[in-house]
Amino acid sequence: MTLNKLNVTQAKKQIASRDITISDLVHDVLRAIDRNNKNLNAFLSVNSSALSEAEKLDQQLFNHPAILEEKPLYGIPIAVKDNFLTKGIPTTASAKVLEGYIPQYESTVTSKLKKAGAIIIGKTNMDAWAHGSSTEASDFGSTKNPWDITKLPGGSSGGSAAAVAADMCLAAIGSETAGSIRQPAAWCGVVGMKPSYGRVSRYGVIAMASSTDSPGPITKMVEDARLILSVIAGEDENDATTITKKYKSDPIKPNKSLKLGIVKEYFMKESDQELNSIVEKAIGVLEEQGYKVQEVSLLDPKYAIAVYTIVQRAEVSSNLARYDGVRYGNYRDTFGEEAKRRVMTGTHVLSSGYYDAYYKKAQQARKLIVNNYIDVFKKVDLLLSPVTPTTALPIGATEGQAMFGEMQDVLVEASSLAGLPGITVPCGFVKGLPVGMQITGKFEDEQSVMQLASHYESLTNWNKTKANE
Amino acid sequence: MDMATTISPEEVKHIAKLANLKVSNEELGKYSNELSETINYMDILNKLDLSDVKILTQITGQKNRFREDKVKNSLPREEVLTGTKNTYNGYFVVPNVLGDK
Repeated sequence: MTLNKLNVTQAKKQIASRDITISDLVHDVLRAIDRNNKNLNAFLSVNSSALSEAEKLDQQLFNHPAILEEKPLYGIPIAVKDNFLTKGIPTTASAKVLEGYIPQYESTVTSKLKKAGAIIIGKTNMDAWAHGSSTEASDFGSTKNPWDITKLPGGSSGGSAAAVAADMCLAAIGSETAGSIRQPAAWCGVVGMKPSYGRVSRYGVIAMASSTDSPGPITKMVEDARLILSVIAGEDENDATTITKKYKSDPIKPNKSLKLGIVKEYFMKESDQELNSIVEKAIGVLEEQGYKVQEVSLLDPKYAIAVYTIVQRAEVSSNLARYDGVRYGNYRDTFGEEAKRRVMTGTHVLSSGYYDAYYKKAQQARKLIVNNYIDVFKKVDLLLSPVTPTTALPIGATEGQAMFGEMQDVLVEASSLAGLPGITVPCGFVKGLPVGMQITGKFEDEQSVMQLASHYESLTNWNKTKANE
Repeated sequence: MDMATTISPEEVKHIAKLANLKVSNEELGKYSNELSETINYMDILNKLDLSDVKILTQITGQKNRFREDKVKNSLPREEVLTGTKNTYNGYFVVPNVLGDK
C-alpha cells in the first residue's frame, strides 16, 4: 500500500470512515522513509515508537470513536524540523554543538500537535541553527531535492519540505526567520505557510532571530496548512510575543472580492525570466476568475537583504551566546563555519562604535519597510510575486558564498521583517523543477492568504504532479 | 560603492574573542574577506533617507505583557542535569574562569 501519499485531509477522512488504520498509515510512512532517506537525507532521526503509538491510537479509536472530533490530527504522522524541542527525542538543530542533546521538555508546537492526536514521525534535517537557505549548511550533510537529487531542497526547513514532497510524511512543521518555510517549500513544489509573527509560539524552538522567528506548516495542500495552523496557533504564556487575539480559522471558501496587487519590483531582472513569467501566468489565472488585480510598488527588495542580514546576525550572535557546553551540548569549538560567520558579523554590528552605523540604521530602515507595507495595503488586500529568484540550485551552490541564504531569500525578507503572513503555492515548473507563487497578506490576516492560495490550487493541478521516488 | 569598510584579520581576532569563538590563524584571512564582503553590502542602506525615520523596536505593537506571579513546578534536579556528564554533588561543573590559566 502507499498510504504515505495521502495528504492530511484525505487521511483524516479515511481514518474516520475506517477505510484505513492508523497503524497501516504509519507503517507506509516509515517504509517510505526507510526507502528514501538514504538518498534524500531528509530525516535526522525517526521516532522508534511511532508504530506502537499508532497501534495505541487505533485501539483508542475502537473504544472511543468520538475522539476524532476532539483531536483534529488524530493519527496523522507529521515530521518536525529538528529545531523544535521534543522531550526524549534527540534535538540538534542540525548542529554538532547539540549532538547528543535530548530535551527535558516539549516545545509548545509539538505539545499542541500531540494533544491534537498527531504522531511525530521524526525530526528533519535543516541548515545548522537554521542559518541558510540550502540545508547544505547542516552539520550532518545536505538534504537532496526529491525532484532532482543533484539539486538543493532549499532551506533552512529543507528536510521538512523534501519529506513532504517525497511523501515521507503527511505534512511537516518548519520554522521561518525569513524564507525558511516558503523558499524550501517552493523549491520542493509543496505548500509552505509562514504565519504572522507571534501567531505561533516560539517556546521550545531553538532561537535564530527572535524578532522574526515564526513556526508554520509545510503541506501537500492549502487546506492541510489551514488545519495544522489552527492547531498550533494561539497565545502562549511561555512566549510573550504571541498574538493575544484568538485565532479564528474558518473553512476556506473563495473570496473574489479580495483586491490583489502584483509587486513589480519582485519580478527582478536578475531572476530567472521563465520563472517570472510562470508566476505572471498564475496571476492571469486569478484575473480570469474576476479578481481585481493591479500593479503596486514596494521598496527595492535589495534593501531588505541588508536590513535582514544586520538584524538577523545581530540576534543570532546574542541567541547563540548561550551555548557554552556546560549544561547541555558541546563546547563552542564545535560551531560550524556558517554559524561562526554569522555570530561574528552580528557581534561586530552590535559592538561599540559600529552599533549606530549598522544595527540602528537597519532598525530604522526596517521601520521604512513596515510603513511601506502599511501604505500598499491601503490599496490592496494581498500581494503577489515569485517566492524565489530561481528554481532549485545545484548541490554545492553555497560554496564560497558568504551571504548565500540572505541573497536567495531576497523576495521574502521584507515581509518577514514586517511580521506578515505569507504562503507559497505550487504554480508550475521550469525544466522539471517546481516554481512557487507567493501570496503575502496583512498582519494577522492568514485567512485571506489561504483563501486565495486554496482557490488558485483548486483551479490548477500543480500539486497533483509528484516528485519521482 | 565605498569599499573602504574592511574588517582586518586583527579585527576578526578581536571579534572572535568577544564572541568566545575559536578561529585559527589560518582562518583569519578567510573570515576577514567574508566579513568585509558582508559588511560592504550594508552600505546600500546609505542610499535611503532615514533622517526622519524612527527606530523600530518591535513589530507586534503589544505593550507590557504580564502574567500572574504563580508558583509552578519546575524540572526536578535530576532531569536538569541529564544534559551533561560533568556534574559534581548535584551541580554543573563549569570551566575554570578565575586563577591561573
